[in-house]
Amino acid sequence: MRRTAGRHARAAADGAQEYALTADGLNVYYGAFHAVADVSMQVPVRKITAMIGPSGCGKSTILRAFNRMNDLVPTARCTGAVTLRGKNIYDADVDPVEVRRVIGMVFQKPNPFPKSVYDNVAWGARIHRYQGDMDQLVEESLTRVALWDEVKDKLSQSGLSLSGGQQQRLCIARAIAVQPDIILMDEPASALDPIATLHVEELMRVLAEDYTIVVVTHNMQQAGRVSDFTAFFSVRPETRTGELVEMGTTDDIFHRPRAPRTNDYITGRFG
Amino acid sequence: MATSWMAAGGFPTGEALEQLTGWRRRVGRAWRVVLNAATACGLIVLSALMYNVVNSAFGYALLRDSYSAELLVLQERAHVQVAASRDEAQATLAAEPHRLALIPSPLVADVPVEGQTLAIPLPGHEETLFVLAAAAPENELLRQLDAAALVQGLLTGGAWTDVDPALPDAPVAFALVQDAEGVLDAWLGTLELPALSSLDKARLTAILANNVSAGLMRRFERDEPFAQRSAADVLALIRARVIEPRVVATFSLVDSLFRRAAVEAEARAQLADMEFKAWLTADFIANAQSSRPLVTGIRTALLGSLWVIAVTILFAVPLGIGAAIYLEEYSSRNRFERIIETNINNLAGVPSIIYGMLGLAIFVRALNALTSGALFGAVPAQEANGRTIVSAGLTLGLLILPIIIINGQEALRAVPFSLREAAYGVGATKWQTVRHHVLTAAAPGIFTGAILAVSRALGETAPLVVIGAATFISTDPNGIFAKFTVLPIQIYQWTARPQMEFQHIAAAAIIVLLALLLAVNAAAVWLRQRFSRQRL
Repeated sequence: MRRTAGRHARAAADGAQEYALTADGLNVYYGAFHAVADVSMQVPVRKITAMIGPSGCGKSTILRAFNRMNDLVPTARCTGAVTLRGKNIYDADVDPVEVRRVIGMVFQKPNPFPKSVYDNVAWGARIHRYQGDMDQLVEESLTRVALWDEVKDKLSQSGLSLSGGQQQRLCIARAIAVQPDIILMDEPASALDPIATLHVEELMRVLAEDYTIVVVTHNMQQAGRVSDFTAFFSVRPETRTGELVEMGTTDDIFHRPRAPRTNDYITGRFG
Repeated sequence: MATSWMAAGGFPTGEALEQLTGWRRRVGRAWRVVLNAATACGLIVLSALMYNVVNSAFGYALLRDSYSAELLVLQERAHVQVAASRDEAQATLAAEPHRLALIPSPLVADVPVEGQTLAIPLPGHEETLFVLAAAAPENELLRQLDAAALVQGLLTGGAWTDVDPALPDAPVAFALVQDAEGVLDAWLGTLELPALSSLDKARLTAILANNVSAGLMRRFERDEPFAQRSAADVLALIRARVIEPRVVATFSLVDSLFRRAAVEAEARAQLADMEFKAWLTADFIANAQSSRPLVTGIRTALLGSLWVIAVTILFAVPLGIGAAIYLEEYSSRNRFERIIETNINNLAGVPSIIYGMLGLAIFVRALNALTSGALFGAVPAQEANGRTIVSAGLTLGLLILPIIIINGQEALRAVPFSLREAAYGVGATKWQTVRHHVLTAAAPGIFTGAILAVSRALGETAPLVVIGAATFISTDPNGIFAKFTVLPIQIYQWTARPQMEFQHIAAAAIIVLLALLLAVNAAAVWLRQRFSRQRL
């Protein structure tokens, strides 16, 4: 099955020769629990790759494995390789801090720092010793996420005083302020109302011009609307282990799925 | 009944439902009453404590000036002239016709008396006769004088007309042979002395002048001329400089307010001055420790407490917060670290006296050279004594360290994981995440916990008793190697005294300690507010 999935993924990504990130035989364990088995996929540059699948299929786990966020979970363990710029980020000589600067992350629930709007954006740049004009960076980042006009008069107010949708866009601005290559988004709109969700989706399309985006979503319409590529994950019922079923262009996955399980999921017959 | 319960798909309906609802309401109400009662009990206990303390800290005190007759008679020799020999006494009598010779009865046989004599048995001391003699046969005094007038004249001096208008107008003047001085002293010691407040200003001024240096008198005069001072003012100076009023009885605030008549009656019976006394005064806080309850203060103990707590804070707070950060943020929770954590939790429950014994063994004994300051040349090595402020501070530090760690861990644990993720997500290192976000978010909780622990240390007595806090010390602590006492020990020591006035000053000291604790806790609240605001 893995081999099939891998072949599909490679075939689907043929048009985009350049890959920002490559996973090879990636396994994630939480203690004795084998959470995700043997994922191999390639993330095309400056495209939006959506990861979909039923609950517990390990899509978030894989996403977090891409920037070593799983390191924060004491029992988590990873095998396999994730290649970024020709280097396996799980190599012993790689500092996860460096990885996370290149691969930013946006979380399910908006989590701005309990600091001012300005500091929310500037903090990341500050800890990486940004040499340029900080005010300009903050303005550019906020403009980029279409938040500048809304918050330019309250830069010194708490980031927590903004609305949910604004907070999430602030978090995205925070992520792009450190100029990453890739932005991982873990169900970025699931805690937002429909209007705010729409804003975030539009924003993702705009950002895809400059950044590689990987988004986990449980909303298939959303995946269909925003993504260029889609990876479908499923779960082995006997072991509760997640796996990548297939990956391809969003159009292919939604209209011409190869695996029957994908088809069942897409058409609403949960499999 | 059983069937109605089973109706409507298993849920009760109708009457059964009403019964059930009523029952649930009653249960809810009953619990509310229980919880209210618990709160009320707490408040009552607290009020009772405060009532007790305040009741003791204020109230009437009956003060009697405790002075010896010498203050009035022999130290101020204006009206009693001591002659070196009998001849000299005779000569004095001859020169001043109004002067009376004062001859105690045991010596009468030895003294050749010329002129008239009169033997007066003294009230209450009939076995001791004083024979009065006058040189001049025409002296009217001897014929009219009785025992009471003699005593009063002897004690107060002045003129005989002051004693009794019927007496001749002559100054009170006695001559005494040196040998008889002792008998007079002994006799005067048995007399019921007049209250100083009954004396006039001239006499009070004379007493003051006789008992303080001339320089001091000049200073008083400069501050305010004696001509303008009132008798009460002069009396206050005497009480401050010469004699000490003795407390004969004290009353609680409630008694003072509601049983004033009884207090007044008691004051009359005891021949004492009634004074409403706040045992807690600015002087009480500023004065050094003394064995005299009316002038003692808590400065020494207060400074001792502040020094000790400063050492405790410097030692325990950074260490405790550091340990909390390590255990919560860095620890990999392996077996060893879990054992450490469990032990810390257990240490928080160890009785404080055990810490006292630990401190005695380690800081006072084993690290004697260090804690006495001998190693740093603060005291010579042979005088090294580890019972110092630094030993006490470190012991209390050990005592509250587990509490600070546990509180710190709780505060850190309460910081949402999403905040850490956010920081890691932009490429922060662990330390940057902890320093900039986790600590900032946890700071109010950490500091509140630390300050509450410190306020516990402030009120701790038992370990310091073991460490060897001085129970009486009148020199202020001047550094971390000084001997010390602290407020709770001072209070403990005062409450153990039998004299009632010490109970009152103990109550006053308790108020100071409570105020100090309140201030510390207020600081905790203020810090929490400040940090919360900083977080926006």
